[in-house]
Amino acid sequence: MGYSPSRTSSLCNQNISEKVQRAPKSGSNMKNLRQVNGIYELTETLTKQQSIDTAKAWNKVSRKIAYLSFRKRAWNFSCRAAVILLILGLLYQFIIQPMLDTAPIESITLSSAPGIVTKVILPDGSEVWLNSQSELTYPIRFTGKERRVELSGEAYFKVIADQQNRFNVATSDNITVSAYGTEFNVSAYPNASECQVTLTEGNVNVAVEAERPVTKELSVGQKLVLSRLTGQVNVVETDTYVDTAWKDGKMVFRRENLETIVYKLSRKFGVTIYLEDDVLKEYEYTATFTNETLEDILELLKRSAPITYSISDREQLGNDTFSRRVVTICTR
Amino acid sequence: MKDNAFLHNLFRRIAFNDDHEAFKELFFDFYPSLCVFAQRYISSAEVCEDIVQETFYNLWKNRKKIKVTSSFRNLLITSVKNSCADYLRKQSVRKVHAEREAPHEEMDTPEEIYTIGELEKMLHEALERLPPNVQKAFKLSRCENMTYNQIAEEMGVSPKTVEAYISKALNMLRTNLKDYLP
Repeated sequence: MGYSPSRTSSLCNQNISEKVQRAPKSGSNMKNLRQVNGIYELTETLTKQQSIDTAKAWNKVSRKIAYLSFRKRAWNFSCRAAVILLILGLLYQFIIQPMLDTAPIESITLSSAPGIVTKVILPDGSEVWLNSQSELTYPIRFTGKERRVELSGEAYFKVIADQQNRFNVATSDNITVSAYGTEFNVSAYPNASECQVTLTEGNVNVAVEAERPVTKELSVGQKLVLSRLTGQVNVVETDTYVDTAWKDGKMVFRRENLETIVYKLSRKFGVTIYLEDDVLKEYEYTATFTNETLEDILELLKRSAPITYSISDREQLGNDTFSRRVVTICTR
Repeated sequence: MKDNAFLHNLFRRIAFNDDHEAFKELFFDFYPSLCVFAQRYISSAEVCEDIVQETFYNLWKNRKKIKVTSSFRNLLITSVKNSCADYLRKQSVRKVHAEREAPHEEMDTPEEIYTIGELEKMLHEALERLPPNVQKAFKLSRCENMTYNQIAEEMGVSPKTVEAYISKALNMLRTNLKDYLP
């Protein structure tokens, strides 16, 4: 609209001056004049107002407002999400995780029957071969800094490396074998005269909690022997093949006295073996057995030394179970 | 005519209920008159519109924080006036101009506040009540800036009739608006 204020005002003035000229200068006429002038000014303003596109302006402003409230909603949403996540995080960190940590962790006890080698994979991925008549107790889940298992009997451990979490094997003799990731053999039969820890790879710490606590660090090829009778701890060089052959189903003896051999045989075959004569205990043998039966082995022993043996059959006991077979070895 | 209580209620709906419809109503009521009001200080109509839009936008943004001390009308006028002053201050190039035309900080007289938007509306309504011919003649004269002869041609009547129409319009308007005119 081609609207010019100056033109209109001049027009106004022109009109007013016309009127002034025409009318006598009385008070009421002056009032009328002012009123007419007021009306003209108002009309001018009204015209200006009507030239303004309010709807268009409203569209602009309402778009800005919509964007504002969208931003506010988005912000609120993120705030809420953050708060919820934070709460969940705290909940997990301070309530759920401690609960999981303190919740009683169930243990599994695995035992190996006579003549059977059992292999088990622990929750952390470590592998364990469990020799005959041995028991291994381990938790269904390792928590905390320590991976702790308990062993009674003999087992070969292949521990998955984890520098953060020590792997501890505890035996009934208060021996703790401690490692981060190695391979070692622990022999701790409750009724044996000695406990042995043989290291085949890496290194381990062995702590013996006796009257005089001893801590030894073994290197590859060494064996720690704890004598149950004297409480003496010795570290000796050893042939790791001999000590760990059992896990491959072999029995390897290198200048082993008969007492030890008999002990191992009785364990492997689940029989009771008596040596009639103390002299027999001193006989030494070197042999490797793989698939031989008990009878085969006894026959071989008989051939290489002046001994003889007898095997009693199993007897049915009163409680419907059977007794172990008894082997008696005596001098010829 | 919107009285203060109505406006107050409108503002309450905006502030507490986030009522878009109420805000729209307020906008349509005051936007044109505030734009014309701003033109007293700033000559560019576009800048005036921007300033008034910004004022409304800020009003919505701060609706929860705003405290209406005297009247809602007063608040709107003061905000627009302050925005105009800010704008002029920022125009460093036109510094002299700004000093000359910068709005005085003193409050508007109550009459002035009262008439913002209202009087024009009343004029509009009074115009609508005029007989159609009189109304047309008056509008052509005042809004289109046509001379009496042009109007006479347009309406197909004599210039004398046009003059009669105009003076009739003026008389009627004067009667209708006599309480608000000087």
